[in-house]
Amino acid sequence: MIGKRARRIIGNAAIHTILILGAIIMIFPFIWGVSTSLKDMREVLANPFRIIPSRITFVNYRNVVESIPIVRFFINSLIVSVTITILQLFTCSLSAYAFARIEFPFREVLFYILLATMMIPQHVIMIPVYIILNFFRLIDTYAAMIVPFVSSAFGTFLLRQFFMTVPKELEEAAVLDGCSRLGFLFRILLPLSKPILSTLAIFTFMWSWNNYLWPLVVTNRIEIRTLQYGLAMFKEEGGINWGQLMAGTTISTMPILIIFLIAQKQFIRGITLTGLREE
Amino acid sequence: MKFVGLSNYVKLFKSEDFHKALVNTFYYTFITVPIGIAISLALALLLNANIKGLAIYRTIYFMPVMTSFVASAFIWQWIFQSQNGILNYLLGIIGIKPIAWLNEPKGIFRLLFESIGINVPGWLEGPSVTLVAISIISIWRNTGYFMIIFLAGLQNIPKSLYEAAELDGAGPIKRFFRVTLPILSPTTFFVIIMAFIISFQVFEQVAVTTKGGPLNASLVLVYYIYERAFKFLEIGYASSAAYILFAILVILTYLQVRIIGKRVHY
Repeated sequence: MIGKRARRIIGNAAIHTILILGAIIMIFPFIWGVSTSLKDMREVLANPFRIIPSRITFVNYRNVVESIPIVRFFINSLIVSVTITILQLFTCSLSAYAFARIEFPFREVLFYILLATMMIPQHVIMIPVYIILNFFRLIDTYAAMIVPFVSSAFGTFLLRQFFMTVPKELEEAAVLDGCSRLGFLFRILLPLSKPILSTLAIFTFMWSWNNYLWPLVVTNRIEIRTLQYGLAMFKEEGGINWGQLMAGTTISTMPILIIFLIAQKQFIRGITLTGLREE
Repeated sequence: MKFVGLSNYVKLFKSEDFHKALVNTFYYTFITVPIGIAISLALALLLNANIKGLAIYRTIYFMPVMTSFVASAFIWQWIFQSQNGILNYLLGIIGIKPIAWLNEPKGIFRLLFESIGINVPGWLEGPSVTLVAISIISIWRNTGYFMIIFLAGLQNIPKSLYEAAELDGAGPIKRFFRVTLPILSPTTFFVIIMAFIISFQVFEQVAVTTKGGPLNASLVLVYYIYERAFKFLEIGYASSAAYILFAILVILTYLQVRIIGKRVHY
């Protein structure tokens, strides 16, 4: 008969063993990618495989910056993602406030219709959206990558749920003091909603930074390609140089991973609150 | 423009490529959904066991979710390389011959049985090796996401319930099936629906690695729609395929609500 303490220690050791093995599988591809990007061409294809390069070199990074406009792609991704994030915060705040606080005809019905649109996958409506953008002559512009995402049902829903929890008396008091509706929204409600706004901002940014399908569908010119699309094209056109491709992949992944490590709490909260959309 | 009635749908159902895309998407779903959910639930249970280092594990398991599908597909394609890939190198150490992970149209069961000298009939081939490799990428990418949702569900279960069950003499296995699973059922239900929806929309992993090849071995619905619409410019035809995808999702979600939804407690 083993004591309770001993059993606990053995149990914990077993759990940690499994979790560490799992963690290695999860993290190994990242390490292997970065490791490959730091090797020279000969070592990339050499046997046996080494995790730590025998000679660390940044030549792949230099080559990738020189041979493809990756800085341009990076800036494009930044332009598109930041614009979408700011516009979504703005429009979703307005519509969420309306759904949460303003009485108007058919409010509930409209809200359910909005929720229903969350169930329709992006891929199902991409053709009609493309045709509409084409009608307005927006294909192959920054606007084509931004306009379809200036508002979202997910953001409206997320903010509305939060706004509902703010006591009504707060608004009544503000109105008595001569505050207008918009004044209340921008000066009182939004500052109170900082945590949920930052959650929405991070998700929106991550989603548009990682989006590949839409820029692929609506753009063509090299100058306006985003990182994901640009990298994929580079791989196709240039034949595959694994060292360089891993350098490009590392560059494209770093910003998101850094944001995640800094703002982890918001992420976890956002997911547990809503289940988060994944598109 | 001319109104063509249902002719696009008729053409679609006669198309061999569309059949292949449909079958592959179902195969992919039935690989990634059960395995992905089982792994993420197991991880969440282990993380919920009051152990040290929860935050570190959670961060590591969640990192792939942050990575774009494009970046993860690049890295895995490098790992899967048949010539210089590290996976074949590691398998080589234990004596397994190199496998062309992303360039092998043969079914996974055929490959397995061939290695012990048995020929299996065509209907037993199973999904292509390439499709299995792509499924591995997706499972790696999405596990952390479902794990976090499960973990949140688990942390909502009041401790007093376990204590009561323990007092009544329920062992750990009984506690899992009688307390944890029933109370977790709304979370599980949500995860299953999300997992199906995500998996039917698989696109990037295929688009940047195999483009549906070799021999359509990894052709999936959304890639088929994309190719028809924006490469061959058959917009009407591709829209019909998109509506089939939508109809499948609606029907599956409805069935899940009817069948599983009934078993969800409270």
